[in-house]
Amino acid sequence: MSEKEISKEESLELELFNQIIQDPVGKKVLSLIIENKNTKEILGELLGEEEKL
Amino acid sequence: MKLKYILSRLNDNSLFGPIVIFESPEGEWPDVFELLGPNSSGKSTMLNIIGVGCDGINNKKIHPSIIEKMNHLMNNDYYHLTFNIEFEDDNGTKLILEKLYENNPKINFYKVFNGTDKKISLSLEDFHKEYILIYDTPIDPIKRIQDLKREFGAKLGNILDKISMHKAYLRDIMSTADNKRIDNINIKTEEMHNKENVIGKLSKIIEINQGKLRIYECATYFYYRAHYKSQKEKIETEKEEVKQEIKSLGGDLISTDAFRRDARAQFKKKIDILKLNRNSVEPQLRALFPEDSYGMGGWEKLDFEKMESDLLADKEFRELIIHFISALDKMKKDNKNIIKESEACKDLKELCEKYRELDMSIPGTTLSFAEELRLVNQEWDQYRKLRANIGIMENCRQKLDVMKIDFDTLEQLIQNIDEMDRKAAINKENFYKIEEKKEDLGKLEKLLGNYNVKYIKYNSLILTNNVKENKNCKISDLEEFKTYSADRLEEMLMNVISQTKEHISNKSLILEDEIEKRNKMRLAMEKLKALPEAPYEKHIKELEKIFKVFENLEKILGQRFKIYLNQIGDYRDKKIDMAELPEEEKNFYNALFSYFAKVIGTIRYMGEDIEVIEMNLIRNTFTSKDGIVRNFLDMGSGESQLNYLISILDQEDNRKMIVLLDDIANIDFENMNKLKEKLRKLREEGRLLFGIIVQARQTKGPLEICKI
Repeated sequence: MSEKEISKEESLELELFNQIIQDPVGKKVLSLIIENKNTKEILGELLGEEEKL
Repeated sequence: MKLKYILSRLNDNSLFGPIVIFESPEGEWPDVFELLGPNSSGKSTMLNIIGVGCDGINNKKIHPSIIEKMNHLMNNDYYHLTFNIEFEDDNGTKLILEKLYENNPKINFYKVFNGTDKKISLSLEDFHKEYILIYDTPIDPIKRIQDLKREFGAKLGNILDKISMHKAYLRDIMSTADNKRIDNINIKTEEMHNKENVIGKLSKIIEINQGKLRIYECATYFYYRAHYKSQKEKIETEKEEVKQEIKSLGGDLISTDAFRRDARAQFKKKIDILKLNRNSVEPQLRALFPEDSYGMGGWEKLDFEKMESDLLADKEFRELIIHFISALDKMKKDNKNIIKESEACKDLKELCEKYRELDMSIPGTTLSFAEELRLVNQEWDQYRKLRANIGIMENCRQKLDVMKIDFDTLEQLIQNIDEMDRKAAINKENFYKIEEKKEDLGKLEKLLGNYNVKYIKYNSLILTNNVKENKNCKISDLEEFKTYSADRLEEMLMNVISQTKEHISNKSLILEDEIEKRNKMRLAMEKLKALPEAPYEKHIKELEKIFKVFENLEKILGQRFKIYLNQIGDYRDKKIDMAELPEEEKNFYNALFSYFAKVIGTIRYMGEDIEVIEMNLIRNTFTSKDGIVRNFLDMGSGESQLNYLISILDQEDNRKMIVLLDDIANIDFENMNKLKEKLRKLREEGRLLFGIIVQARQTKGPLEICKI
C-alpha cells in the first residue's frame, strides 16, 4: 500500500478528530477514512494482512 | 479556456421544438477572469453549467442553494443541456468535460497531454483525485462565516457515508464466514476448556488423595505389622512361661478328667464285649462240659455290672477263662485218636456201602458187608457226634482266647485309671491353680491367634497394595490422628484408608467418564475444524471488533457530534455560556472552533490581516493569536466576505482548483484587488486551473470579460 500524502484540510480534520474522539482505534480508523483509504486498506492497516483480505 | 454550451427549454406551445435560452459566447476565454454583466444575462447559468461539468451537484461542500440551481439545469423535464468545456493549464495539458446528449445526464471527462491529440478518458474518481471545484456565492458574509458549521456538517456527512460504505463491505466479507461453524468451534472450545479444568481438578484431587493414601498405608501397615509381630513374640514368651508354671505345679498338658473319661469309656466298652462273649460261649461250654459244675457254676455267677461300677476286673473271671481253655486243650488232646478212628470208620463204612449187595462174607469175618455196614453205621453215629463236638470246642477255644486278651486290656485300663487317679490325688492341691493357668494359656493362645491373623493381614496388605516402606511416613507425624487414643487409632486409620480408597475410586470413575466426554468433544472439534474454512473466518473476531468500531464512530459522528453541531445556533441565540456545558460537548466546541480558525487562517479586520486561533460561532467572536477577542458583527461585510473567500482559497490541497465565485458584492476595490491577487498567485503556483469572479453590473449591455 502506498502512503498517500494528505492535504492541509485533511490534516486539520485529523487534528480535530484526534481531539474529539477518545477511542484510540476509533481515531486510527477515522484517520484512515479521512485519508480516503478503501476498506481493504483500512483492514490491512488494522490486521496487518492486507493481501489476504 | 474554451466553453461551448447550449441550454434549451421545452415549450409546450411551440411548434418549432425547444427554445434555446442560453448559448455560450464564441471564442476562447482567459483562464482567470472577472465577468461583469447585468442581471439575467446568463452569468450564473454559465457558472452553474461549469459547476455541473465538474460534478458540483455531488459536492457537499457547495452551498445547497447552488446545488439546487445546478440540479435544476439537469432537470430533463424542463431543460435540455449539452456542453463541452476545455481547460488548459500552463503546461498545455487539457481537461475536457463534455455532456453530449440532451437526454442523457452522463458527463465525460478527458485529459489531453500537451503535444498529443489523444483523449485519455478519466473516471469520476480520477477527476476528483486531480481536480477540486470551489464554487461559492457569499451573499451574506456574516452568514457565510456561520456556513463553516454547515461545511463541517457536510464533512461529517461525507465521513458517515464512507463509514456506511465500509460497514457494508465488512458485512459482506463477514457474511462469507461460516458463523455456525465458528460458533460451534467457539462453544466446543469453551466446553473443552471447562472439561479440561474439571479433569485437571479431578486429577489433582486424585493425586492429592493418592499421596495421602501412600502415607496412610505406609505408616499404618508397617507400623501395625511390626506392632503385631512384637505382640506375638510377647505372647509366645508369656505362653512359655505359663506352660512352665503348669509343669512346675505338676500339671499335665493333657486333662486328667478327659483321660479318665476316655479310659472309663473304653473300660465300659470292654465289659460289654466280654459280657457278650461270655453269653455267646456259655451254651457251647455247657454242651461241651455238662458235668463241670465248678466251671459252669462260676461262669453263670460272673457279675459284669459290679465290675463296671466298681471299676474292677474279677480275678475269678480270669481263672474261669483259663480253666476252660485248659479243659478244651485236654479235650482236644483226648480227641486226637477219635479223629483217626472215625476216619477208619468212615473208610470202612464207605467200603461196606460199596459192597453191601455182595452175598458174601467179609474176608476174615463171618459177617456180610450189609451186616457189617449196619454195625459200622452205629459206630459212625457216635464218631459223628464226637467230630461235631470237636468243631464246637475249636470255636470255644478261639472265643476264650479273645476274652482273655480283652480281660488283660481291662486290667490294663484299670491300672491306667488308677494311675491317673493317683496323679490326680497328688495334684489335688494345685488343681485349681493349674486349671487357672490352663485357662490363661487358652486365652493367650486365642490372643496369639488373633495377633497372628492381624500380622498376616498387614503383611498381605503391604504385598497386595505394593506399599513401599518409607521411614518418613510415621503415624506420629499424621497430624489429624494425634487426637485419637491408641486403641481407636488402628480402626480410625483403617477407616480413613478405606474411605480414601473409596474416594479415589469414585473420583477415578468420574475422571474416566470426564476423559471419555472430553475425547468425544475432541473428536467433534476435529471434525468441525476439518470442515472447509471460509476466507475470512480466521479474522472474524477482529472483523467483528472493527465493525463495532465503525458502528461506534457512526454513533459518535452521526448522533452526538451532529447534535452538538446543530445546537450551535440555539446556544448562540440563547446566549448559553459554553463554560457550563458538559465536558465532552465543551471539548467538542473548543476543538471545532479552533479547527474553524485554522481553516480560515487570517481575517481581514479594520484593514489589517489578523491571524485567528478561534472562530467561536456560539459567541459570534473570533480570537486573534495575541488573545484579543473580537465580534464578527464588528467586522465590515466586505471584509468578512473577503475573509471567507480567502479562507476557502487558502486550502492546502494538491489538486488543481476550478474556482467559481458568483455574485461578489460588498467588497471594495482594495479588498477585491486582494482577492484577484490571490487568484493570480494560485495560477502562478500552478494550483489554479480556472478561476472566475462574477459581479453584477448595473448597466445593460453585453457580458464583459476582464482578465485577472
